[in-house]
Amino acid sequence: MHEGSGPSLEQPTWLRFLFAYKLLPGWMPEMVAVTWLVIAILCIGAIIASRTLKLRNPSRFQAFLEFVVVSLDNFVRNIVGAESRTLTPIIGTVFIFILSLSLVGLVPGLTSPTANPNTTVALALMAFLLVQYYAISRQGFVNYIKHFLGEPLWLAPLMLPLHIIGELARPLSLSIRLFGNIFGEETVIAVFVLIVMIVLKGFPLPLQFPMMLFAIFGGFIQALVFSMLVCIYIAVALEGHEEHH
Amino acid sequence: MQIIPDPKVLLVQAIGFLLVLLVFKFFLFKPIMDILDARRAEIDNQYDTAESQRSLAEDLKAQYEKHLAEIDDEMRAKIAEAVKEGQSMREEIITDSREQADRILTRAQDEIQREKEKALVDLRSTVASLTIGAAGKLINENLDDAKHRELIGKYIDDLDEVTK
Repeated sequence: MHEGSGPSLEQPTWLRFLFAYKLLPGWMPEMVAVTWLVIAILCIGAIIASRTLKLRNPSRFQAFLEFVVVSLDNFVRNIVGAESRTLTPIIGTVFIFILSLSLVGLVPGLTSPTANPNTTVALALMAFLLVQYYAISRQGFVNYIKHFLGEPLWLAPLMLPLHIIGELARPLSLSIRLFGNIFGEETVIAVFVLIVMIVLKGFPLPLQFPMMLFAIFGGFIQALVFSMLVCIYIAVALEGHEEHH
Repeated sequence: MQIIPDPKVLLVQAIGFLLVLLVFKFFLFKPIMDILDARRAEIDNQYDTAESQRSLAEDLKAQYEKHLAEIDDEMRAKIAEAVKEGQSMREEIITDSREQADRILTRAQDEIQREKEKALVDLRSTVASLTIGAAGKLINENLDDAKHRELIGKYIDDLDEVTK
């Protein structure tokens, strides 16, 4: 499937020409090109949409965007409360970005960047940094360290590694959950396509179609789970201060 | 591709996410939230305006109703006054005319009485003259006019008493 060494998880895409003509470096997986295609579409879409916003008589597209923003805001507000003003853009972007990256794989000839651990680990690491930033800025650095040391101070040698592992387990679970789910869906779809090609000898029966519908659902759920967990981690970080006093 | 992430790819993907984050924050979330806030403020504002205008209209209505009631009272009072005036005028007219009629009646009665008396006196003198004339012719002699006039007057008085 791939000219590189060893077994590959990657499926070929329409964007292979970018690498063939050396427009992008060879170490880059093709899904990076897909990611940036999605980024370009999202950014251009947002910029175009922001130019036609109206206070009265919003267009259908604006009404849809308002619905999305209000829903995301309510979602974030329900978990983190008053902090939603600054968090909604971040969590909302996480949700829309992950959802777009998962759904783009359903377009024939493209692949889901979220089915690649590079993408999910990058996202999870940034979520991790965001949570740590909120924890330190809201609790203060001293309380933040105290929280890691645990309540009876003489247990700190035991509690410190536990807390650190606990913190690190979060981005790990976030990234592997997202990667595993989307990669699994992609692979099942690919397998169904292969079954059609090999077992049915190209008979035009879209076996993969139900699985693609499920992948839409799964992509939505995984984006929701990822953003909800980040929200909850931040909410816990915000309340951590009060919990210990 | 292997399961262990490549730091270079991680960095590229992270930069991509941050780019989307920036663009979304300034071109999607901020403007739309601003517009939602502005719309909320505008709706609040319109509610306030509508409320104040409603209370204004209610004040005006109460004022006009008071005015109308006043006008109504005034009108009723004026009508009542006019009716009273009319009644008193009627009384006055009736009294006046009754008095006038009484006066005219009295005067007419007086006049009739006077005429009657005058006629009686005339009649009496005429009767007396005729009687004296007749009697004079009958006895062909001039009687003592005064004496006989007295006699005849007495006679007529007697007649009066008899005819009564």
